Amino acid sequence: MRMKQIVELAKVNMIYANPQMIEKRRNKETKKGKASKVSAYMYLLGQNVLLFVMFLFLFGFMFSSIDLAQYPGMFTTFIATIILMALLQGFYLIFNLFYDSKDLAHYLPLPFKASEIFIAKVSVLIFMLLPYLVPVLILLVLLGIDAGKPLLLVLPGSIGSFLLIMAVVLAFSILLVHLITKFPLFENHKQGVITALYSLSSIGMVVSVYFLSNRATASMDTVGEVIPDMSVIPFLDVFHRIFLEPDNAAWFGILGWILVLAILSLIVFKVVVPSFYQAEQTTSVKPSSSSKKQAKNKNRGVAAQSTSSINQTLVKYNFGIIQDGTLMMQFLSSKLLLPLVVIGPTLFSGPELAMVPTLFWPVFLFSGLIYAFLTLNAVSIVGVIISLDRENFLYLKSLPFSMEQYLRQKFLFAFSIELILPAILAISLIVFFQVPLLFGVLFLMGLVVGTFVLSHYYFVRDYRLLDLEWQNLTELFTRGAGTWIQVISIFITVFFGVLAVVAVSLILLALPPLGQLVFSIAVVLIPLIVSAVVLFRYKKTFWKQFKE
Amino acid sequence: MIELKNVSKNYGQKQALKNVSLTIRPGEIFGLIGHNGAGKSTTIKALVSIIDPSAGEIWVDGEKLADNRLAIKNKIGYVPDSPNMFLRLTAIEYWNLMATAYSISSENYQSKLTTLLELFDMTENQYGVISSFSHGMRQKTFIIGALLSNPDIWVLDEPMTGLDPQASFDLKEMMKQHAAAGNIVLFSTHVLDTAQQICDHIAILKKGEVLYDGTIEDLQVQNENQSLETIYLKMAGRQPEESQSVTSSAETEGRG
Repeated sequence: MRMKQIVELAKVNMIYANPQMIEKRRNKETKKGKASKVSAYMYLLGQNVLLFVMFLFLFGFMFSSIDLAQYPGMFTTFIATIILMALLQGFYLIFNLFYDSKDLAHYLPLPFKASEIFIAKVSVLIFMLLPYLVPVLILLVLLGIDAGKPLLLVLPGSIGSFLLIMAVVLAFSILLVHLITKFPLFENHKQGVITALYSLSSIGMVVSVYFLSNRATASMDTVGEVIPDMSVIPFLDVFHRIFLEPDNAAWFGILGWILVLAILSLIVFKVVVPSFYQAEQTTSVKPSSSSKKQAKNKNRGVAAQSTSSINQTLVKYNFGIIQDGTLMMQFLSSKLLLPLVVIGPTLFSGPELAMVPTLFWPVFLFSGLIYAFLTLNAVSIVGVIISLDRENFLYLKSLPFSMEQYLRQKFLFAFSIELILPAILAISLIVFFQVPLLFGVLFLMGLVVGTFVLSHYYFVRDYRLLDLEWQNLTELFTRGAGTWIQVISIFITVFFGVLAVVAVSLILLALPPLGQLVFSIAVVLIPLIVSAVVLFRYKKTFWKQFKE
Repeated sequence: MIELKNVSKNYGQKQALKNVSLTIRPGEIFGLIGHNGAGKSTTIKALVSIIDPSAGEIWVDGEKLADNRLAIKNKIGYVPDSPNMFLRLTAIEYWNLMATAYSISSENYQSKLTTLLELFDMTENQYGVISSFSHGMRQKTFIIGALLSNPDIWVLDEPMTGLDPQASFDLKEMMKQHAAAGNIVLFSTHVLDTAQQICDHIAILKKGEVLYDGTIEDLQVQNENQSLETIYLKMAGRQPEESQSVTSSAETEGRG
C-alpha cells in the first residue's frame, strides 16, 4: 500500500463525504471572486476538529455530575447508547461513502489498489464518526478519574479502550452495510431501503439523544440523593471493571473484544474489500432495463399512448426526480423529526388527550393547521418540484400539451407526498393517545387544509424563483433567503403556533357558554375563509397564466 | 501491443460482445467504428478494467490483464465516453488525483500540466468545479487528466464529442504524434471522416461482433474504392437507397 495514494484518495473522499459544506464554501468563494488559501479538505478537517473539541466539552460537562465508578449500570448503558448512535450514523456515512457516492466506478480504470481506496474511505469514515464516539472517550476518562486512578494511567487506558470500541463499531458497521447491500430486497428496492435506513438512523439518533440528556439531567436533579443504578450490560462492563478491579476476568473480557475485532477485520478485508470493488466491475455498465422488460415493451409496439398512460408516465417521472438522498433526508426530518422533537415532549407529558372535554373541538382543527405549518416549509418537495425538472421543464413547454394540466398534476403529486407522512404520523398518534374520533377527524381536516394551502404557496414560490440550472439541492433550498433565515422562520412559526393553540384553549376556558360557541365558530371559520381567499387568489394569479 | 482474444461480455441474456479478437500494434491509431450499442464502449471498458469480460482474455505488452491490472493500468491513459465523473471536485483537484494515481513526479506534473492547460485553453478554468463546466470543458478536463502521465497507450472513447474545432484538431495532431513515436492510440468514434483522416487500422463492430478488422485502404480496395461511409453503411447499416426511402416515408408519416 502506498501512503501518498491513500492520502490523495482520502482528500477526494473528504469532499465527497461533505458535499453540502463544500458547496457552500465554493459558493462563498465564487461570490467573493477569489479562491480561499485553505484547501477544501483542510477546511473540512478544521470543521471536524472544532466539532470534536465542542463535543468533548459538552459531553464532559454533561457526564461530570455522575460518579461513574459507583454506577456501572449507567456507565454501560451510556456506552451502549453512544455506540448505537455511532452505528446509526455509521450506516448513513458508510452507505454514502462506499455505495452511494457513485465514485467507485470512476476509480476502476485508474492505477489504485482496491485496498488503497478502501483504507482512504475508512480513514475518512473514522474522522467523520469520531465526534459521535467522543462521549465514549469522555466516559472512560471520567470513570478513571472517579476511580481515583492517576491521570498518567487513565489517559492511555481510556484512549486504548476507546480505540478498541471504535474499531469494533466501525468493522461491525461496514460488515452490516455490506450485508444489507447483498440482500435481494436492497437490489430490487434500493431507494426504499436507503430511505428506511436514513429514517431509522435519524429517529434512532433523536431517541438516543433524548435518552442520554434525560438520564444525565435526572442524575443532576438528584444530587445528594442515592439514585438506583441501571442494569449492567454484559460485554461492555469489562471497560468498567478494567478501571476499577482489573482482575483476570476483566482482562479476558478485553481479550474477547480484541478477538472480536480480529475476526471482524478478517471478514472485512477478506470478504468486503475484494467484493465491493469486484461488484462495481460487474455492475458498472449494466444495461438500464432487463431484457424481460424490453421484450414486454417490444410487444406493446409503438402505439400512441392514451391520456391515462401519459398521466402514469408523469407520476413515474415525478417519482424519479424526487429520488435524491439529500431531498429524502430533508423530507424525513421535516415530516418526522421536527414534529416529534417539538410536540413529542408535550404529548408525552401534557394533558391526557382521551379525557379532553368536547368544548375544545376547535383547538384540534386549529392544531391541525399549525401542524401543517410545522411540517411544511421551503425545504420541501413541493417547494422544489418544478425546479427539479431542470432543462426538461423548458423542453416540456415546447411540447403540444397543456402546461396547466402538467403543473396541476405535478402540484397534486407533490401535495400528496407532503401530506402522506404527517397524516400517517398524526393517525398513529391519534390512535396511540386514544384521541376521540371527532377531535382526530378535525385535526386531520386542519392538516389537509393547511397542507393544501401551504403547498400552493411553496409551489408558486418555486415557480417564482425558478432555477433550472442548479448543481446541488441546497441551492434550491436556500433560494430567496439564507439557511439561517429559514431556520429562524421555522422556529418563529413553531413558537407562535404553539402560543396560538395555548391562547385559544385559555380563551375557551375563560368564556361563558355562548361566548365559547361564537369563539369556536370564529376560530374555525377565520382560517378556512382565509384559506379559501388565498386559493382563489392563486387561481386568478398563478393558474390562469397557463390557460391556453 | 494489445491483444483481445475471443472476448465476450454478457449482461444476463444480452450479449454485448461476442468473441471479439483484435490486435493493436505499437505505432498504430486504431479506430473502433460502429452504431450505438455495437460494443465499442464495452470493448474499451474491458480493456481499461471497468468491466470484467465474461469470457476470453486481454493481453497488453505480453502481460495478461487479469493478472497484472495495476501495472497495465499505469500504461493506459483513458478518456471515458461520458465526461461526468468526479463532478464535485475542481479541475485541479482532479488532476492532482491523476498525478498521484500515476505517480507523476511534481516537476513533470507541473510542466506537463502547464503545457496541456495552454494547449486546451483551460488555464483560467483550473479552479472551477467540474460540475459547473460545459460538456466540452469537461471533456478537455478528462483528456488533460489522461495525458498528464504521458502514458504509452491512449484509450479514448468518443474523444472529439463536445470539443471545439481547434481542440479537436489539436487532439488529432497529438494522436498522430503519439502513434508516430511508437505508441498506441485506440479510440472509438461515430464520425467516419475522423476515422478516415487519422486511423491506420479500424475495426467495424455490429451487435457485439467484429465485421471488419484491417486498414481503410484494404477495405476500399475490396469495395471498388467506394467511400468509407457507403462501405460502412453497407456492412453495418441499411443501404443508402434504403435509408433514403425510410427517411422520406418517416417524413411523410410525420406530416400525416
